[in-house]
Amino acid sequence: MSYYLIAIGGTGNKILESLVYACAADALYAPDEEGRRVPLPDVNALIVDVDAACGNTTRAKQASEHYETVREAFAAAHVPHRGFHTRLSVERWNMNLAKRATSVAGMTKNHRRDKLLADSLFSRTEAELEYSEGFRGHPDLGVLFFADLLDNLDALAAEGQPDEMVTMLARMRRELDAGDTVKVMLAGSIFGGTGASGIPSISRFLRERFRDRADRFVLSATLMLPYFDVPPATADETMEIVVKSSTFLDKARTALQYYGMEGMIRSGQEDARGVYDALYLLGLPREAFVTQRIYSTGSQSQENDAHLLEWLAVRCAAQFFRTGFRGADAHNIDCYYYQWHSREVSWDCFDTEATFYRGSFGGLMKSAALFFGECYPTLRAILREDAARQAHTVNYMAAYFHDIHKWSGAQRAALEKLTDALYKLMAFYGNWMWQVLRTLPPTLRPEKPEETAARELSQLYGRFVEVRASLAARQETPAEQQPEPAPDAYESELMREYAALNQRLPQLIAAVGGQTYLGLLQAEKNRRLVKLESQRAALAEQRERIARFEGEDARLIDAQSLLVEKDRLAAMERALDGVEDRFALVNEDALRAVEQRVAEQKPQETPEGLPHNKLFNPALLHELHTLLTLYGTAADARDARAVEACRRALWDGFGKIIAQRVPDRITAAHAVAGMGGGTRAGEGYQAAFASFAAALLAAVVEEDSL
Amino acid sequence: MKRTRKDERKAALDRKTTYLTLLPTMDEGFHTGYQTRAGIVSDGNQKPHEWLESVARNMLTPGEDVGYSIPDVLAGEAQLRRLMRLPYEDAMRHQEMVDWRGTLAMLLLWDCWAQDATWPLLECQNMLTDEGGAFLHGVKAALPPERAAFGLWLFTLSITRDGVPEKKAVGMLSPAVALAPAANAGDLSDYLPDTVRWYNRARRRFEDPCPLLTEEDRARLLQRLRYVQALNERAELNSPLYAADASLCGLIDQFIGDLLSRRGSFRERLEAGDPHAARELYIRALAVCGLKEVTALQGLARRDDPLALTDLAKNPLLSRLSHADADAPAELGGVSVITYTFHGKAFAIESPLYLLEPANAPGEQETLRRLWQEASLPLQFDGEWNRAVAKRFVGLANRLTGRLGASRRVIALLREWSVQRAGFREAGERAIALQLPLTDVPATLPRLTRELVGLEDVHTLTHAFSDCLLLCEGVPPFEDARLNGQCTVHGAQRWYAVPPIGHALMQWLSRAADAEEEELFRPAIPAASFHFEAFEEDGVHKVRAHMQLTRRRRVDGAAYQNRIELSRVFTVSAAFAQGAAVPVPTRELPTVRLWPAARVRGGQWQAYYVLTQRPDMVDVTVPDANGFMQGQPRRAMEEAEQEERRWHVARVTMWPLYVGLSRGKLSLGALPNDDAPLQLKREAPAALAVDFGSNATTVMLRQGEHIRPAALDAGLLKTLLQGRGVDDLRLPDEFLPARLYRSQTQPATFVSAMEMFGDDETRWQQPLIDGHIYYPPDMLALLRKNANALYYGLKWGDEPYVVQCVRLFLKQVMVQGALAARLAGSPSLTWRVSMPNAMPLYRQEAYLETVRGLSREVAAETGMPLTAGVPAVLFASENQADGLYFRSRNEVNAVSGFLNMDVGGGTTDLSVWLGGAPYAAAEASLLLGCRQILFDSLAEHRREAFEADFATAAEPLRALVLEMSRSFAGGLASLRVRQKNEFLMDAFFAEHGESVAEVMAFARSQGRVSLLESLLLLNFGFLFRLCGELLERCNMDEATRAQLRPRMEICVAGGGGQFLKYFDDATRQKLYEIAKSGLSKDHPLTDLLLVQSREPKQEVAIGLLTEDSRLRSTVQGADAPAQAVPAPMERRRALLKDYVTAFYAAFPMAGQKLMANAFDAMGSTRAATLKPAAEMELEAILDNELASGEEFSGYVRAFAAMKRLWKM
Repeated sequence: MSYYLIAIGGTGNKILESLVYACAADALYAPDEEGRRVPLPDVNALIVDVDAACGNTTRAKQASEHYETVREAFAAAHVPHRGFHTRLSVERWNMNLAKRATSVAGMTKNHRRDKLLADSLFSRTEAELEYSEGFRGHPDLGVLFFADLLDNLDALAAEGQPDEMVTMLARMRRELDAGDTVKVMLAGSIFGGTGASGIPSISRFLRERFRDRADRFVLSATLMLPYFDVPPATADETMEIVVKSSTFLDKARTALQYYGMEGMIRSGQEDARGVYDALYLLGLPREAFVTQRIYSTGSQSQENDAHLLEWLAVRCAAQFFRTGFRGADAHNIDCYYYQWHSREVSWDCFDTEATFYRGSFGGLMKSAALFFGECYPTLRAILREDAARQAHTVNYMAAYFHDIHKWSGAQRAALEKLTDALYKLMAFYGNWMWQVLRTLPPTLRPEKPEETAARELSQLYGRFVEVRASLAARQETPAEQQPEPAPDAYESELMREYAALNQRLPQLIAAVGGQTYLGLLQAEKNRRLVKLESQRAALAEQRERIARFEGEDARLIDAQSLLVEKDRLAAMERALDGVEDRFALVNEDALRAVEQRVAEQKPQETPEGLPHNKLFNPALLHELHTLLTLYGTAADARDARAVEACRRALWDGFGKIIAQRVPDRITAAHAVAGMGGGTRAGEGYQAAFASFAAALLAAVVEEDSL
Repeated sequence: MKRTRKDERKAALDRKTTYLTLLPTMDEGFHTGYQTRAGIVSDGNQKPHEWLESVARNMLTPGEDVGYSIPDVLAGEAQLRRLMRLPYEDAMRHQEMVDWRGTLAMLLLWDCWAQDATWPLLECQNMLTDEGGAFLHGVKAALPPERAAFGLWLFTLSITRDGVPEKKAVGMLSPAVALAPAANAGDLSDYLPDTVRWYNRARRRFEDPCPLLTEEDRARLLQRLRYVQALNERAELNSPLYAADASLCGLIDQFIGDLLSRRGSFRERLEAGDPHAARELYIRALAVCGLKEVTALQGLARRDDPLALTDLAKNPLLSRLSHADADAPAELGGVSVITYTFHGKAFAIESPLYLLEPANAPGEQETLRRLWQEASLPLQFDGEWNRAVAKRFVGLANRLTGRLGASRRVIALLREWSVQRAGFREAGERAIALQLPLTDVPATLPRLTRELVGLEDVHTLTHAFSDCLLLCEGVPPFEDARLNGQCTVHGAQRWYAVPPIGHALMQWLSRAADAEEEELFRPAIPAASFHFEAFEEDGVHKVRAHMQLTRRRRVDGAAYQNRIELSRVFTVSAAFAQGAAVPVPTRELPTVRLWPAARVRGGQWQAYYVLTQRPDMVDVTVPDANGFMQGQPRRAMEEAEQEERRWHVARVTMWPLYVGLSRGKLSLGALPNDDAPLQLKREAPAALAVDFGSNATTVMLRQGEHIRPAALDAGLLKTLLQGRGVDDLRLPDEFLPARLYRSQTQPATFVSAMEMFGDDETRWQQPLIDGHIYYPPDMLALLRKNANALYYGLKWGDEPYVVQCVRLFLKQVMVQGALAARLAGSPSLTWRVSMPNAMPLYRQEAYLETVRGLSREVAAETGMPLTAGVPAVLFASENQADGLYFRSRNEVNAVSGFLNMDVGGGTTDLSVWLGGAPYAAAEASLLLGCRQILFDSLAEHRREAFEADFATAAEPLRALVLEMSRSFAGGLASLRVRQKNEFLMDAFFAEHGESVAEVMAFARSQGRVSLLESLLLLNFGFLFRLCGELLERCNMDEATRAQLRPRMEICVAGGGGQFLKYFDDATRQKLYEIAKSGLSKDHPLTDLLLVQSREPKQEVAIGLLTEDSRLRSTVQGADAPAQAVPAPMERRRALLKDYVTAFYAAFPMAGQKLMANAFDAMGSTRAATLKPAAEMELEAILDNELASGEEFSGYVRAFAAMKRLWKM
């Protein structure tokens, strides 16, 4: 049995990063006869991304490399260890992009027939899209690209040119021919460009390629449905294709419809037309979306925060890998989704694997905390020749590195490399988990104070505009036309409300900061502009309607109804005045805010913490994140006291890092003691490192709690 | 339209449940299935397809168009397949669906349209069969094998632009959706024929063809869509379009449904009782059953288009989707589309259930409107037509009644309309309304207008309104207050519209009025029908003009009035342009007048003159028998104001019912002048007598025995448009004034002066056009008058220009006289003229000949014929005429004899009538008229004394005299100015006679004598002396002496004779004594009695009419004037000397004033004696003047010479 994950596009590669940590946590497993979880021995991953410089892709690749370094150290030392049992082979498909045309227009430039055909298939903007940075949400273009790419694979193979996809296909073929079952999962989003086009293209190709081994070739895909928003694009939408959150849901829906329509999911193992044995859909309701801090339509600037759903996607992969789809298990051919019996994020959300996940992923986090809070500075110190003798004095070091001072420079360098890999893997993991918690869906966590303030500001500002508009209107309206209640009372009430709002809004602006306020103004302006345009359009439509009724369609309306229509027009015109007034007010506020340099107004100091959750202690995880940030700065610029404070906090709160009903009794002291009680499994730097790392991973979590 | 719905209640409930599905928000219709466990789950139904589609279907999204997000190189095709599965309303929100319908409809109908050389070339080729580049390679790779096997059949359209063929992709043949429109079709405006109305050329994209198809196309498209359905669902047709699930059929069902719903809309409206739908059906039914079948109206046609199955194979799309050996299902054939067209434009299709339904063709409403115009006319007025239509309607209703599913509503309507049409009755008043300008003219309109108002040329009606509406701003423009009221523009400040009657209509109305015997039954535009209303539309100011063209008709003894309501909207503008309403200050408009304002029926008068003063702003034209006539332009320089005045005068031969205004080619309306014709009495033929005097002319009229002045009413001058108020002051300079005569006591007497509009006498042809009788409004106006245009003292000149001027003068006199005769009811006339004996015979002959010629000319031009059987012109001498006048008077005893003294402007005629004879016993014609009595003295020698006479008079009079005196002083060197001064003086004495008498009386009361009195006494004394001399001649003749009686009347006539009234009885007695001083001792006369004429200035004219037998028709062979026996020379030589001595003795103060240097101072005996020098001067004069010639002429010459010599 062999397992493959093809990570396509930015989202696919975020899932791949999650997969790395799942491997570290032994979360990819298959049950043995006794029901015990046996980690998968190998998982092969292929990165497919048109955007060669995508930050998420690079991070996933790096994380996998660090993981493999650590895992190989374990494997070489034969030290019993928690996690790190699954070998993860990650390749990146070099699609030879430099040799390819970068747009349809480029391809058809010198060929009239091709141009004619292109006109029938693609819109003008699509044809002109340069897709070196992805397909910007146009999978129809991506399909053409991938088709061409995949169609050339055999030629490449024949020419003997190295190609990662060719290699992977050859391996699959070998395994299938050898009688193995090959399980392939493709992962990516279907509301973007690369993933949305790559997944069906490659899936179809694979299915077609191994149609002769359909009994052993099991194919699935994790289709990520929209779960985040992107900030509004700055580019001109009329001039170039931009990515808009507003289209995500429709794109996903269209793609799903296509999958259904085309019979992409097999209705059974006899279904020859279908492509997938399993489809995993993951998405969120619109209100649970978070807005990515930075979003780019491509290139390395696209390095988005990790998200809980990507973690869950890996869980889907894990389930796929351990599930049978043939023979008696053919009933598992189906579409899957995620059902959560909770309104908060907790280990229980992993249902049957709750305890396992708490121990594995939680343990990994505690290990990271101990490593960075306690071990790493010592380890770095003893790696220096002058401080090597300290290894004697630190019990958790002495057990493994007591003779380090005798090691050659090459051995120490090798150890340093291993240590660096562990450091980076742990740092990646710590940062990943921090991001996952930071981007928890708003509906699954308590509201943050600044969110509360921003929400209140948004609500009150809307009312503030209304009150001012009403007051202005009253000043322009003759007394006899003013509405009930009596003018004085009504106006006084408005004035009172105005005063109260006028007092409250600056407080809220101070709380959320100028940038947020400007963002709110911009959003309000956009919202009102949309309303204004909509009102104008409606008004124009009504005028046109009345003109028709007074002209060619006069026969369709009686005089009374025409009067009613005209009254309606008058009401709409009045309404338009109101909408214009309000838009002008917001516009004025926005201009004033810019003139007064409101943007420079910092938000009130709020503890930059993670939201409350039942996975990890947000404060401690934040301390760990801060510590990693401090470690990331140059040594001479590093705030030693801050580092110490973070270490102290992690030391003190070590037992509370994992959120659980029954607190883990393993404190830092316990853990350190545990580590000190270990032994080195062999000689040499590799054994020393592996023993140390294994002790680190084992000492942090009590067995009972598992 | 967004698909996302915000259901707060559901969201709140969702939040309460502990279950959370990690999927996007779903619609209520989505069911995940009951999950007992958390984690990664499926719905457990083992139907992943359905579940997946359910997810897609129920996912709540904003509804953005994201067809490109389909991961398929044929995304467009896939998108259509996807949309096919969406709820229909949702699918139709996508432009792709609209494009699909649009392109499919175009290709399915392509072979149905008539194509010519300009038609674009439609081709279809498989893109996979030919070589291509990298792109085609990529596309091939991306295609599923089965799709690739079908091929990529691309439809393209080609046109040639600048000789270079250009091609556009239209769509691709699809086994799934029949046709996938091109994703980047670009702008197809130039590629698609106009028949593809559903391609929005402005937005460069297709629209849903359903509402835009013609019914013929709709029928064909329905047939072809059903064929496509058959190809999709029937395996036996072996079509590549065949699908087991027949997925395309549903989509086409919806298409067909929408195609039919358009028709359903009409049906629903009709069934719901919508009056508009019923009316549309009514028009269609009238057009088909009436206009086509009864009237056989040209342009109406019925077209039968069978939908043949064989045609299907010719279609470029169907031919590729159907198997070569497969036949189209027979049930799709046998249908036919019957279309009715009007001038090629479809307006109805035949319907088995609804009789006639909309054709939905472009401009169908307009076609219906035109058909209604056509039908409405016979509908209202043609009984036979109505009855025939009624019969057809009944037949159709009966036929429909027996048809299953036929609309009950249609049947009921047909029966109802049938009853209405059958009940048509021709009689009654009829009216139609037309909003002009008509975009097209119903073919039935000419017939109707002929019936209604007798108008043959419908163009006249369609151009009933003038091109522009002239709005007079400020003062009311019309003389007629009622017209001002009717033409007031409502809703505007002080705007009055000139009735916007078009020229053609104006001309037709004028001719019809001229030809129509009965005024009551002529076509007319009643002034009461004018209505003008200002309003604003879309920010543009407009004026709606309304008027009625009416005509009474008599049916079965009853009279009905037919009416054509006409209205037109003009846009207010500053510039004259078609359809513009242009405000112009009234004062800038010309003044338009008409003479005579006497509408006489049936060509009984045919000389009408239209004067336009200041015709700068607009042109004034008058309808005439030969079209429109514009007046001849004339101009004059007003010296006093250094201003050139311009005017036009047109003479037309028929009553100008309207006077048109225009500017260049643009007509600006008409000035109505539709007075009722005058009711003339039937009188006897007229005889008109003209007394052509030196300074005044009188015309008298006789009908039967009744003699009266041939005077014209002041109302004969009518103002049609009063532009400038000041024009009234100019009127006499250019035309006829309202008041022609000097006073009420002298009707039919006017000055003998002409004002000519040019110096070239050869062009003095038409009175009132080339020149006219000048009527000075007052002395001041005359004083300021340019002397160069004025011709006075015409009677005695024989220069060619004078002859021509006299001719024109007489012609105008005769025209006016003829008009007077016509208005007096005479059917014909003859002329009488007088001539002074002093006039040489040849000139008398010439004068008579001129009058004869003019009588014929005037008869021809005015339509007033000469009385048959009598000479056109008879004449008598002035003496004769005077005598006949006095002979007929009661106060004169003709038997005892009388002496007639007619003192005219240039002559004085003396005659002695004895024994009741109808002729004079002796007569003399003296060149001593008023002019000689006063002018030379006042103008040349005694201006200061003349001024002094009036020194104590009222200021205006004194000033006038001073002005005249200045004018006299300036006129000594110029003949024309002298003539004008003579005119001035004549006018002065005629106008200020009373004032002159007062001045004379005042002087007498002061114990002195005025110059005027002195001059009058001197001259009248001389005339009386000559009267005595003439009486003495009668005494010397045996034949006449026996008839002399002791008592005789001396009858004074003529304008000059009026001066005698200024003297008291004592003075007059002295004059008698002077007369008697020349009588011999044995002369029987002892008493002279003065008889002043009661009709001064009319005596000659009346005399000419009293006894025709005394008149002659020719000068030749006439009796010589009764010459008195000449006196011996000694007596002759003594007369003047005796007279002046007697005069000095009788009137010493006057004598002293005039002849102080000739006489020695009076002694105690009061006898005055001539100074020797004066006596010698007199002798010299007598030697010169009495040497030859007639005796009395010699006296006058001598008297004149004496006055000159002694500067009297």
